[in-house]
Amino acid sequence: MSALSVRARIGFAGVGHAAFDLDVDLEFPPGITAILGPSGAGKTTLLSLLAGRLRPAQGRIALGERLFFDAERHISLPPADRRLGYLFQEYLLFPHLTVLENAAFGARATRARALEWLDRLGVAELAPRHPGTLSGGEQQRVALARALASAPDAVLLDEPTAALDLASRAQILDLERMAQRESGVPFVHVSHSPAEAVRVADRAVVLEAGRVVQQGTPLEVLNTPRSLTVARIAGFENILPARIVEHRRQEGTTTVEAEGVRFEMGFQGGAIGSAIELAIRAEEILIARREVRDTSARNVIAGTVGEVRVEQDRAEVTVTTPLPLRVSVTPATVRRLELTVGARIYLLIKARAIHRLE
Amino acid sequence: MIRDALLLSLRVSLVATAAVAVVGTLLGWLLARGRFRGKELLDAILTLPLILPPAVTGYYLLLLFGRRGMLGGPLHELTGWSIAFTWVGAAVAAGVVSLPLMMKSARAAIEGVPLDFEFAAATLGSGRWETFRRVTFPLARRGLLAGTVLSFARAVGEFGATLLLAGNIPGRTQTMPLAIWEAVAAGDDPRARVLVALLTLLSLGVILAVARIGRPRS
Repeated sequence: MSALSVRARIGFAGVGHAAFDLDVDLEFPPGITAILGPSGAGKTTLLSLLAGRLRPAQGRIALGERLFFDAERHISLPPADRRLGYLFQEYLLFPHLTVLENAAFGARATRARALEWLDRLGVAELAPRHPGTLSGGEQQRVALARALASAPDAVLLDEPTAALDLASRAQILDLERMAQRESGVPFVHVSHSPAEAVRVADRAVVLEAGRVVQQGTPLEVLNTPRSLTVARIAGFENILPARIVEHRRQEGTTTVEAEGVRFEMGFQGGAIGSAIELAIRAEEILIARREVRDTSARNVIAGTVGEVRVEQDRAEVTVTTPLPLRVSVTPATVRRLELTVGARIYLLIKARAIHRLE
Repeated sequence: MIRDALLLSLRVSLVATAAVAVVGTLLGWLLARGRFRGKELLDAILTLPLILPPAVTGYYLLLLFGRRGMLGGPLHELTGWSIAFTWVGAAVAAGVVSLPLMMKSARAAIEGVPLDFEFAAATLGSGRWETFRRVTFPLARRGLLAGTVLSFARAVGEFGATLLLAGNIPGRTQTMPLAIWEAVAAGDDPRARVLVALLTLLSLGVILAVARIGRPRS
């Protein structure tokens, strides 16, 4: 099975919105690649380029040997000839056709293959019904069967779970993984949910303002953010502007300072005094009532509890060091350590839990 | 005579409506989905017969299709036949004045079909015509049907353009509205009343049919 590759540039003049341009060079090998990024980053635009709904100003799009688009050679295959499956957030099943007629709609689909995919996706018994009588999850499964019954060379998914409830979401993602394994073709899955990317994808690509800012396995990308965008998407609660104070090559650490508080983190490049940004997950910070000395945590910082918000399964404590840091613990910890407003405590942060953003 | 007028009216209107349904749907599709210069001008020109007094439309039709008209002249020289003063002329007049209704309905109905459905069909390998036939047309069919019924009603009621192009020949080009006019002019009130009652019933039927088409299915 071939990879889908795209090198494309497209600009949009600012009419009614800010001017925007997308400039990417990506390859989607067989497997599921999640495209993450804030809204307006160009995720759906990227899918439109791949599907042929939009034409790049420059670039080349190909699936293995099959050329979809080449600006220099003036080649642009219409969507109907690209042999791609496309899944929409709103399913877009044809309302006047039955489930089976929908699944068998494709020019290269057969009734037998449509039935086979409906069966694999657990919706074969819905075959005679019309889409309007189906739940969202059922509709999306039929839409997946419709895409796959045409034996596409790649499948594009535009937030396929955004309109579904949690249970249907999990189901669709499992079926998507199964469908990818069965078909063996590249799946490009646009999502706004990092959890979804971790669950379903083999790789993740993060877009920001039309550029690729990070790529790797989903866990790698989300656990080691290298930009503010990725840190925000990955849900890093603490994002701090800081300055490099000192490098200690032997120790493999760098000392940085954020609003008067010093942190030790893994060794970084960069001149002394240069401004950087740090990201720390709230759940990676420990709380101790007494100052702990013999610990692997390179940072033991005194602070005062400023605010405590207890929810059912978690509590968020804001600690003033004086720099405010958000710490996530269990409600049990709040009770046992008597974390009330004004309590004097110590925060323990491993050097490796502090990430530098670019 | 009443029977003649009724049968002629039905023949003229049905032929005109059948042609208008096909041409109007294709024009509506072109206007809804096409991207070309002069699109709105084309729409405006085709809408003119809706706005112009039918007598004006009839005069234009005479200029085009009359025995010495731009198209009618060569036709007459070649075949010795002219649509002027025939039932075909009445059908042409009825068709031209009802085309805007069909075209407008078709354009609105097709524009009401979300483009995403057509894109979905395209990703499944469906070409333009196939997408229209299998997706756009079925999804727009209620609007198209309503447009067809309205066009039929307009064709049945056509008077002015018909009179100019086809004349008023009993049994040959005298449709119901023309027969009413003649009955009233001749002081034959009973005949006028029957014709008027028939046309009123037909119109009421059309209104009810359109309302039924417009109602969403349960």
